[in-house]
Amino acid sequence: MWKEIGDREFGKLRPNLFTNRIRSTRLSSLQLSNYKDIVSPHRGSVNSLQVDLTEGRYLLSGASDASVAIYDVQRATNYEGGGLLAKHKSIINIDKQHDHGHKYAISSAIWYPIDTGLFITGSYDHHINVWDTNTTQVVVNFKMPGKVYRTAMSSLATSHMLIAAGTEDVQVRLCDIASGAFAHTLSGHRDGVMTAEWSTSNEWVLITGGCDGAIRFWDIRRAGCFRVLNQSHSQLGRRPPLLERAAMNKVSSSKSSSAGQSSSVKARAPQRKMAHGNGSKQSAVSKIPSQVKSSARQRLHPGMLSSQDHATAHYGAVIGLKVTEDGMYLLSAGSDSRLRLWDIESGCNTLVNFETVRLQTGKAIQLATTQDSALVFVPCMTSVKVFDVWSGKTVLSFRGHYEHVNCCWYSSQDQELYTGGNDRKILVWSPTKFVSDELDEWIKRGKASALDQDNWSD
Amino acid sequence: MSIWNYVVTAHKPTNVTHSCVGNFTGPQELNLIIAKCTRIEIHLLTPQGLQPMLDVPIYGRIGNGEAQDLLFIATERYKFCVLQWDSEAAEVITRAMGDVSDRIGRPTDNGQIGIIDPDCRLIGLHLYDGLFKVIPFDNKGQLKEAFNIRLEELQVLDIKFLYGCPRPTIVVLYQDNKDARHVKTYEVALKDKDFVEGPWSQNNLDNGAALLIPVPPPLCGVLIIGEDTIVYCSASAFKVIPIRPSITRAYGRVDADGSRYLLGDHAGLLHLLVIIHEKEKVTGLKIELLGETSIASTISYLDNAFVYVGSSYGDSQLIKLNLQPDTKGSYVEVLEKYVNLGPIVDFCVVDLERQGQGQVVTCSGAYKDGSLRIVRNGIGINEQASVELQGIKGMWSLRAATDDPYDTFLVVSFISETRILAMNLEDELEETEIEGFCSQVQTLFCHDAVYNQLVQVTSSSVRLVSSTSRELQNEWKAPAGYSVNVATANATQVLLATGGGHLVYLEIGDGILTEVKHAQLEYDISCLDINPIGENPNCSQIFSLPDLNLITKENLGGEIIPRSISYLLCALGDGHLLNFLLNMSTGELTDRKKVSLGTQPITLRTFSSKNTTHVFAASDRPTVIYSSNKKLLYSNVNLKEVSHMCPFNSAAFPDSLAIAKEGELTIGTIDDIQKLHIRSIPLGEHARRICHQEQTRTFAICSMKYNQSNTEEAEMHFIRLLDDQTFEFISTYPLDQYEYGCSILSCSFSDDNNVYYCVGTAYVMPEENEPTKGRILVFIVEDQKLQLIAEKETKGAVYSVNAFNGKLLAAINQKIQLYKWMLRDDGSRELQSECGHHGHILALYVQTRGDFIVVGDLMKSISLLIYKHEEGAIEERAAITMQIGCQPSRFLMMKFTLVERIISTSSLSERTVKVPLMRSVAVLRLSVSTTSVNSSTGSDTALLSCACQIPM
Repeated sequence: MWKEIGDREFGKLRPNLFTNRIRSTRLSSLQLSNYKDIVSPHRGSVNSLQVDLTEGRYLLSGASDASVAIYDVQRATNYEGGGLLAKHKSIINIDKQHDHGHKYAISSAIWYPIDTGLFITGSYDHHINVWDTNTTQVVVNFKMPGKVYRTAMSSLATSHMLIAAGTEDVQVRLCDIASGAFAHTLSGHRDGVMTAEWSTSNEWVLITGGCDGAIRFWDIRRAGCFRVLNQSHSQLGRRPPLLERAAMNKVSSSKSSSAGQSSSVKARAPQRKMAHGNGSKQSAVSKIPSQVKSSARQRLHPGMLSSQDHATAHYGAVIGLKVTEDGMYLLSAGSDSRLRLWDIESGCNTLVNFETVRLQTGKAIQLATTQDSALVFVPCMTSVKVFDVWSGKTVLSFRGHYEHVNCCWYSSQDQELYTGGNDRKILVWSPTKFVSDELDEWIKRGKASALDQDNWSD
Repeated sequence: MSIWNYVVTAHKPTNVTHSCVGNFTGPQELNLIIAKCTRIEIHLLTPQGLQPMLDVPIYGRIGNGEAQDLLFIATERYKFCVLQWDSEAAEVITRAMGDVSDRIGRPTDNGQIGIIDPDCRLIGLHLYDGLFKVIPFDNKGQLKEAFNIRLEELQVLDIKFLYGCPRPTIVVLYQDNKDARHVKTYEVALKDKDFVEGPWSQNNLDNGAALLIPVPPPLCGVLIIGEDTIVYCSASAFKVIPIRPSITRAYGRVDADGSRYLLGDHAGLLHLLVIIHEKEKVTGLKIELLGETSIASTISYLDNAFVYVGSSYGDSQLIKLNLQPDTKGSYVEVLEKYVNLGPIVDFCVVDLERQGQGQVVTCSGAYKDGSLRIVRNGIGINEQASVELQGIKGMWSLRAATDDPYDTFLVVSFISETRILAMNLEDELEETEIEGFCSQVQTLFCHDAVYNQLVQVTSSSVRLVSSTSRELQNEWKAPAGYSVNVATANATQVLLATGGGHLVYLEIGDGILTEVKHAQLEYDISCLDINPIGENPNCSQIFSLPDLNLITKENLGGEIIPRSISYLLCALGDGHLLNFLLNMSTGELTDRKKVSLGTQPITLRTFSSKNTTHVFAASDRPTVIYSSNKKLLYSNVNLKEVSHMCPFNSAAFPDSLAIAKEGELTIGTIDDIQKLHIRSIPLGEHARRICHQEQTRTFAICSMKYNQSNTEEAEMHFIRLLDDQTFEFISTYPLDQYEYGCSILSCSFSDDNNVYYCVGTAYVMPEENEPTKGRILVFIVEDQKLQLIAEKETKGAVYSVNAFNGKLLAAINQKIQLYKWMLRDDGSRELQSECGHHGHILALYVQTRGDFIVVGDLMKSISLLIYKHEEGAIEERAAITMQIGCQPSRFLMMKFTLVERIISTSSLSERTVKVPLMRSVAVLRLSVSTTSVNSSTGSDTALLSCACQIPM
């Protein structure tokens, strides 16, 4: 950081680059925090974690014992170890004893994206509750047809207040806080919906992943889903293959494609053919950018070709989804222990090979990405692994939980990672701090106080 | 209680980021267009040089500009516009404008890129990683709807359009995830809104390759400028030459056919790159060193070997490239320099002349162009005419008739004669005569009088002359044995003093002078002034001022009535000026104040500019005194020494002043009062911290010198002591190898009367990311030398040092540490650690007031700490927990004088402790340099100052 600060001072480093560099250096030194500790009141596995999006200060956690808790991650409730270890106890804790508390496990707890006055919990007791944070009372309650796996709200939305809920049921329901009723049911999945995520570039686009292995894209203004991701429909790299010069020049393309100039071009050629195989519809799909209205889209759904409608993104259930912050790519985790990176615009699987070992299969997992969309945090059994999004290589691995990790949340503001697992713990992973001298002091003081109860300084 | 501060830019940005040359204002006119942060300046090339034509302010920082008769401007905030010159109205009109921001994508790290196709088919923008935005033109030159094309490359370093391609083709310089650099070409297919594979690509270039130069036809292709090599690359040719290791920052094309280029590197060296070619075939490259300029951020070749070098780190320059080298072997001749204040890394506000008018001394520039700049309010004189005249003793302007709006005559008095200059028909100053005036003796005073008359006072008589016939009307002769020493007059009254303390009051009638009153005073009179005061213009108040001070021999008085408050100004012979507040009804003088304006006797003269009255104090440091907000303000004039001055409002030189300088009479107009005046002191090294010590009248700076004599760059760090008048280095303390000066402070400690300089340093080891060792050095200035008194090792970089209750408060990496100044048994002194506070990430800025400490953290915004005397501990009282959007850069460069105020007014959440000092702050003075205000602007150079009074 020293060099960056010096360079920034006289403008050698651009503000943007400076912030990103500081962030990434801090991120690379992430480890189990030796100065911050979250005291979890949960008596069941922690299933969901989220820091509020407005202040970046309040951490919301939901657990299997039907309890939900809020912690202030900026201000500690008390200190231990001579003021060096900050303890963050829950400032709000709602459990089964609460009048309107959930009866069974909470699978999802999220903040209302606009402010910290509301939060939403979804539970296996078939209910979604919307809570007033200040009074800790339920203000809206939605009865769902089955266990709730996941709730999601759009952080961009300015014209709707919809909770997208993925449940045991095959239909995805949109719950409107404003009216207290279901605004929409989205049908398409053939099995329960494990995970739901809103687009980070378009407030109308919802992405859901089901136990049937399908990832569906919905424009909530229209009926039906407009895209189903297909794992065999792929591209190498960040964009679909270039149009070839030869084709442009209206020369017969068969010859030039087989005689590709470089090895990478050769590798691309067969994929192109596959894309052609799906006919003109496929290319129309790839043309649906988030904002541009395409006439093809209207034609396409709801009556999608059945072959397309049956496409799968994973073998097995889709258990985790995360849209990168730049809104261009989607990460998905499946019970087939695969992590896939999708280009949202083209809908292609980018074929990045993530070095996952095993993912837990029974439950939905919560992924996290960094703000610059360069790294992804994935709960892999008892550890959390950090992968480079584009190479798929493991950058860091965090081992600390005694049992399976269910969820993680990365606070890009503080460069801190919060993880929760079946061992009922919430762990904080933070950039290293040079506490050696302070520790020395404390040890010295500790010795002195051991000899004599008076707090002498030596 | 107002929570808003009034922030105003005192000086326009001067940091030149972009420039281009084109025929913007007319088909035949060559323009240089300069982007200075938030402004655009359009200059016209004339045989006389660059002529500024227009100065257009732009809201937001200018990212990219490119001129082709129309001017395309994109700002860093994703707005763009196309400007056109309207030659009839002589102003810029907006042809098109719009927003190019996207919901998707991440803003690029390496800066925004904006390019225009050489055949004007489209505009290309690279604003977000992985996206290339295209704004196509239609046949009529109108912009069509923009679209994005996905770009495979994430780390794009440069993009340019290639010349001579049937379809628009870009060449992309990028870095892969193994940090190797390559170039690739793409054709833009406008119909398909996508890329088509380009004609060629080139892998594995120089690791420092960062700049692409497209070569125009007939050669075409592209030049890739690296740190060690320069490559010419096209579909058919590939040529490489090695160069001396350097980082090229800017280029300028010399010839239209693109065979020669100027390259400016990070050390300010200007090279000429020549593409050797046989017809259209490139056979080689050649590079030649031309000379040294400021470190260029942009180079524009104008015409006829004239080159504009725009700089972010030093003054921008207009240079001429000569055919023959000078004695030092340089082909570069600097013709003109344009002041650039940026980047301001640190500054201090000092009052060197003790006039109550602070000057800002900034650490400006970087690398070899580092300098100190003294920024103060100064008034410039635009010289319009000058005559060589020696020995002027006094000057007055006279009118040809009482109701004439313009002055005609200029009476210049010498030791033994008086000459009269007048404007002739050709608007030239010509010597004439006024018959009624006595021209063989020195004139003491002259004035226009009523009834078309003029008054001349000489040592022996007062002469009343008709201004129409120019003949003597009446004369009052001084009594025998007494000569007139001083005199003053207005249109109807004359007041004069003769030797022996006699004071005589005359009134002017039509053709007659009448002695009304005579008084005898105790002492000789040294100065006089007469002025009607109050509502009754006939009532005159007379102030006679005998020697106020026995040491001073000569006193001169002047009087100014600015708006409603009257002041009496009284200048002493030793360069001091006394000012009093004058009570209009009683004539009582109150509020005596003394300021020093120079070391020579001062002559005071009133003049008016823009309908307000000002006083010109002529001396070795000429000053204009004016009143603003019921306060007298002093503004120095950018002239060396002025002996006399008089207003001279003639038809040819309206609103001018006649100024008598050493051996010269100048007529000129005066700038707006309150214009910033900048003085540069080039250091040749990069000053990073500055502070002033009033007691020893010195400045101390932390500076860094780059040594580029060897192949490896060596940096040397110093603590330098400068005289605050001459700004010369008077003492230097070299720091250890790898030791950087991080902070500097002048302070004193409790139980010690000496004043010390405290310097915080850091050892930056090449193998360490973060400094883990530093020092606090305590110096005393003895015999103009820095003497090290004490030093204390710290466990990290000392980012800030502050005086705190007679102790020293240092911010060391993430810790705030308080040190006591202890006397040891052997009489020497040392710093002893008392207590500390941690919980910060990097405590960069610390300010204190009383027991309160405000810490600006790299990541965690501001927190307020309090020192508890009883416990000897520092505790946190409040913090702005809402983090400032993770923009650590906002805090860089912020010097908060009273940040408690910021805290108390910011929306503190209820959960934090209320700050109990809301009412203790009376006046808020905040000096902020721009980076803190506008985080996106980087090294802007506008100097912002903000002062506001907040009633509590």
